[in-house]
Amino acid sequence: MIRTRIMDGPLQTADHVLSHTGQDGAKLNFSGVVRGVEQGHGIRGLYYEAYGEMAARELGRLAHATVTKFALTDLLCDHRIGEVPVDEVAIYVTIRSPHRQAALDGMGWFISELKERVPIWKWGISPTGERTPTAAEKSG
Amino acid sequence: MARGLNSMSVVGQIEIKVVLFSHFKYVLGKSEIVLALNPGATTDDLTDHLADLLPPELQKIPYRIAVNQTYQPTTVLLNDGDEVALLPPMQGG
Repeated sequence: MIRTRIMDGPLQTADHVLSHTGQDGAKLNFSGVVRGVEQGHGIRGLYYEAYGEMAARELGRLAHATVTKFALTDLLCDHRIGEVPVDEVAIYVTIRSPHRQAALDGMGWFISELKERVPIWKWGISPTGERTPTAAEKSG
Repeated sequence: MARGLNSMSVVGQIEIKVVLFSHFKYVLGKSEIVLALNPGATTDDLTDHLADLLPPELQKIPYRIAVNQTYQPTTVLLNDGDEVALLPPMQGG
């Protein structure tokens, strides 16, 4: 199963939608959480901006490419847009595969490639509510 | 020939909507601009014009181009009404 969604509002884990196959030895869940500091400054959250339909389409393409490249069974990804408060989840990814190494490698590649090809950007939200785009970074 | 970030088109020119995100939106204070270009203009022509028009703090920001929501790694011909997005380094996740 491959499912990707870009959503406004709090996310919930989605791996319960996967049915049991008896074939998979690894299920990996990743949650990307908003930190309280951005570029050395305290923030109350991040604002995620997306290029609408293109972001949704590119996220779906990336999910399919990841499943193919690593021979995964499933990939679920929900990415939140809009304001995400500190300590809340901005992205959930679930990967399931027959063997653990494929799941681990596939997760790392998916997250890295997401930052290369899915048009989404972060704005820091200051304690007073001012939004400022964040500098590009590669470490997540 | 583009004439400015708030230019009006004249007869015979094509209009291109340029969609802005992140630092481009923040510095320019708007989410899109319309550029008037000569017929036959390409994405390279558009980026050349932008190099003249953008303020210095945006000149150093690398960006990719999407035309009508599709990446265009090489130059392509632009048509009247096309939507061109300037996509600075992405930050999802």
